[in-house]
Formats: sequence, C-alpha cells, structure tokens
Amino acid sequence: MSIFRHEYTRYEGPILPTARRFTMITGTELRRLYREKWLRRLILLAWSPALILAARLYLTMVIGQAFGESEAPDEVYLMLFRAEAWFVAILLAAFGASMISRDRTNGSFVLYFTRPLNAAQYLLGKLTAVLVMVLGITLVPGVLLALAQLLMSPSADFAHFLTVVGKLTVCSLLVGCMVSNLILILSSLSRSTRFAGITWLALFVFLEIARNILTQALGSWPILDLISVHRLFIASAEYLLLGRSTGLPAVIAVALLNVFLIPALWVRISMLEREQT
Amino acid sequence: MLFALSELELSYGTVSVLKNITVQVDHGAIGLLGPNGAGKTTFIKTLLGLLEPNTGSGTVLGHNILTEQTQIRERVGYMPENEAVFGNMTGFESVVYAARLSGLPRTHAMRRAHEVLDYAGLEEARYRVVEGYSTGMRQRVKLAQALVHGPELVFLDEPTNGLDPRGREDMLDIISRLNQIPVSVVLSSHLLQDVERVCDTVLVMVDGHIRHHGPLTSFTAAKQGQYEVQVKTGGARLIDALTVAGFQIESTATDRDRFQLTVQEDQLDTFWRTSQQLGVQVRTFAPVQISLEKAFVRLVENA
Repeated sequence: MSIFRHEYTRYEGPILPTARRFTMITGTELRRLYREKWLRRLILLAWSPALILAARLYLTMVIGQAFGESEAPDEVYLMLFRAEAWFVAILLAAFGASMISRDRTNGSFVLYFTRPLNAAQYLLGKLTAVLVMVLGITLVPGVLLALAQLLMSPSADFAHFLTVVGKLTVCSLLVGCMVSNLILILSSLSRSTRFAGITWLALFVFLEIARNILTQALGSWPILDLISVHRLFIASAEYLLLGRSTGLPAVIAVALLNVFLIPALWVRISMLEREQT
Repeated sequence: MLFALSELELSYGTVSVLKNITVQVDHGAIGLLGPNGAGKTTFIKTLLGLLEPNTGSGTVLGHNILTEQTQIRERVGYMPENEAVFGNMTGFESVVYAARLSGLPRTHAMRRAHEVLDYAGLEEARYRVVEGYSTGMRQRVKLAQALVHGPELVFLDEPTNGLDPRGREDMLDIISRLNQIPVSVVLSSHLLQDVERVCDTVLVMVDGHIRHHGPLTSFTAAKQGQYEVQVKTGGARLIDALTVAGFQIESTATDRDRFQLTVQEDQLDTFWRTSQQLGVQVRTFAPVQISLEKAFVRLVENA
C-alpha cells in the first residue's frame, strides 16, 4: 500500500503516427513468444539441419578437392527447406495457432479496437509476427548456410552469395506468407488454440499423404503438388532456389493463394471486430 | 460539448436497439442509467464508433462518429464491462501495451503505465500475470488501460461489477477524483448509488430511448412546486391556516412541524405572509427530493 495518494495527471507527451501501430502488435507478440522456453528450444533444434548441412558442405568440399572438384552444389538449400518444412509445421501448430484464437478467448478484441487501430493494422501486426517466426527458421539458417558456403568454398564468390541470399529471401517470404496466412485463418475460426493447431497439423500431414497416394496411382504430375501444403512449400523452393520448372505451378499457386488469403483474413478480422466488440 | 447525437437509430437485424436518439451532453460526470437491455452498452459503442448507426448522425468531442472513429478513440478511453485482458501478460505489461497501441513511445508508455497504475491503486501486483488477479485487481487494470493515453473522456461500463464493498468504495473514489482533473466520465451502471455518488448529470435510457437527460437534482426532484417545510414551533396552526387558504398539504399526525406543501409559483407570497402573520419561524423550505432509485423506478414505470 502506498504511503501517499497518487493523483491523476493528463498525458501531454508525443504520439507516434497511426501507420506504425501494427509494429506494436508485432513487437509485443514476438517478445511474448520469445519468453516461451519451448519456442526457443524448437528454434535451436530447427537450426540443426543447417549445421548438419554446413558440415556436409565442408566434407563435400574436402572430398571434392581430393578429386579435383571444389564446387559446392546449391542443392543444400533445397535440402534445408525440405527439413525446415516440418519444423515450420510444428512451430506454427504450437505457437502460431494462438495468435487470434487467444484474443477471442480473452476478449482482447474490445481492447484493440477501442484504440486508434483498425482491422488491417491488427492483421498486419499478427501476420508480421508469424512471418518473422517462420523466417527465423527458414531464411536465417539459409543465410548462415550461404555464409558458411562463402567462407568454406574457394570457388564461391560474394556475387554468388548475394544471389543465393536473394533467392532464399524471395522463397522464404513467399512460402512464409502462405503458411502464416493459413495458420491465422485457422486461428481466427475458433476460440480454441488446440483446435487451430491440430487442424493445421492434420492438413499438413494428411494432404501430403493424399498427394503421395495420388502420385503413386496417377504418376508424378506437378499439378498434384497443389493439393499439399507441404509439397507447395517444397516445390516452390525447387523453382525459386534451383530453377526447376516443375515447381512453377506451385509458385503460381502460392502467389495466388496469398493474393486470396490476405483479403479473406482481413474480412474475417473485420467480422470478428464487429462480433467481439 | 462532450457529445451530440441527432435522430440516431441503430438496429441488430430486425431488433431496434437505439431509437431516435437526439441529445446534447456537456462535459462533466454523466451517469448512464437504464434497466438491463435498455441499450446502454450499444449506446457507448456507437459513440466510440464501434457500431455504425442505421440513420442519424453525431459527434464526440467534435469528431464525427461515422467518419472520424480513429480521432475519437485517440481522445477517449473505454473500460469494458466484460472480461477483457491481453493474455499471458503482467498488469504492467498490459497497460504498457495499451499505451503503445494508442501511440505512446516506449519510454513514455512505461512511465505513464506506472503513473496510472499508481493512481488506480495497483501496487506490487502489477508485476504478476493478469490471469491470476482477483476481480478487483482486474477492474483496476482495465481502468488503468482506459486512462493510460490521457483521454479527455472515459466511458466506464459497470466499473464496480463484482467488487466487494471496500473495493467498490475505492473504485468510486478513483472515478470521482478523475472528474476533478477534469476528465469527463460517462458511467454506465445499474447500481444507482454508484451514479448518485459520482455523477452530477444523468442520462436515463429505457427501451432504446433517452427518457431523461439533465442534472441529477432535477431528476430526483419529486415534482414541480412540491416543497419540504420545517418550522420551529406552531406547525399545526400554520397547516390549518394554509389549508383554509387552499394549499395542498401532506403531514403526519405525530410531527406537525414538518410537512410537504404543494404550491404554485404565484402562491408563494401568500405562504410567506401567512407564516409571518402567525409568527411561525420557517427553518427549512426546499424542493422535495426523492431517492434516485424511486425516481428511476417512476420513470421506467411511466415509460
């Protein structure tokens, strides 16, 4: 108990521009996520494929030098994305699924929307937070791997490094946006974080199983990649990182999905704003 | 002018919630009264720009409720009635976050959060997670969130809900002191004593209509021309004389020195002359006041 009575005073200080308000949501969400012990562990674990691939790069280089070949193949980045796809799925199920459902459970919408903030800013804040989390296990280890390649491979030059980083950035942003949008849509559909997380994992796993069954039955058609979130992720990386044309339909599908999902999410958040406030 | 509404109507589907509301309210502490389902919360949310009216127009602090919602929310605070927290945060973090969402820079937000939490009376508990708070603590955090950006007007929706008598007393004290800054307060409550304690103006809503708007004293005045009279001695003589003169008087048989008198404006002279002629000393002559509860019930029944 305080020993004197505190009186209320008016705030007369500066106010930041409205356009930057979404960064408050992103920053707060990331700080909150960083406090999760299991998230930190998962991210460290998600970086292990990059370490293994860096070691593999080194070995390839040493063995290659012994045989007179020192070129390190860019295939390692696709291998990295293949491994990270599953980490992304687990990370989003465990930590991305709560982004909107928790606000619904806690009645926070009224706290957000009675402030000078609109649905688009709220959405942008949440989307950026999830995207940063995804980039943390796709782009960051990818760039570290590219750096390792630059330092270890005598034939690698800085221009190649920049090209790889550019490709990794485009690929991570494109697929990162897609998975972030999908998890936010699921998170906005229920008050239950568990429901959103399990549905996301089920979609990720069962659609991949369905694609595999169809591929075995009908043969390997690139169009079949479009039914699996996991395969969209990998096929997009195949095209964007290695230039394999079989991945082009997936890139187009991911881009179209993003174009459709962002307005859909905005409509959904606007509906929730009206419902919850 | 705090807010002004003109022919405002709002409905949820086919259910009409706000009906033809035209009102102009000045700065001060305003009590928003009404039975459950009268449309009080909808009324507040319309003023905050959260709900769009079907017809009509209005301004809050000079900003249009249809087109300038952001400007309104920058200058207005809202303490919701229902459970509303930013999950997995301490009380302090919640208030800082609310400040940041209103545009305060980080260092200002933190300093300001401490100030309003001190004012709201949340001490060391501010460093604990809100989910573990008692109802009283949660109400204090909600109040601090509503005040952190320095609003000129605060809407408080049932701020004493679920509080024990001491907590309620503290909360009302905090709200009363706000109005001295001055911050205008709109207090929506079904607890009439709370409104009576804090507010100087009342706005009574019944079934989506504003049935009364004005000073609390005029709302609790029994009716025009009805006075409470108390004399030192000789009340019986005065009552007899006034009855003969045609006045309408209500008194008890036991205490004839205290009675209620219904008098027209032009009869006041006759009253004073009669008491002077009889040598009766009048100690009290004041309009009859009834309790807010009685006035409210009377209004609701008449509506």
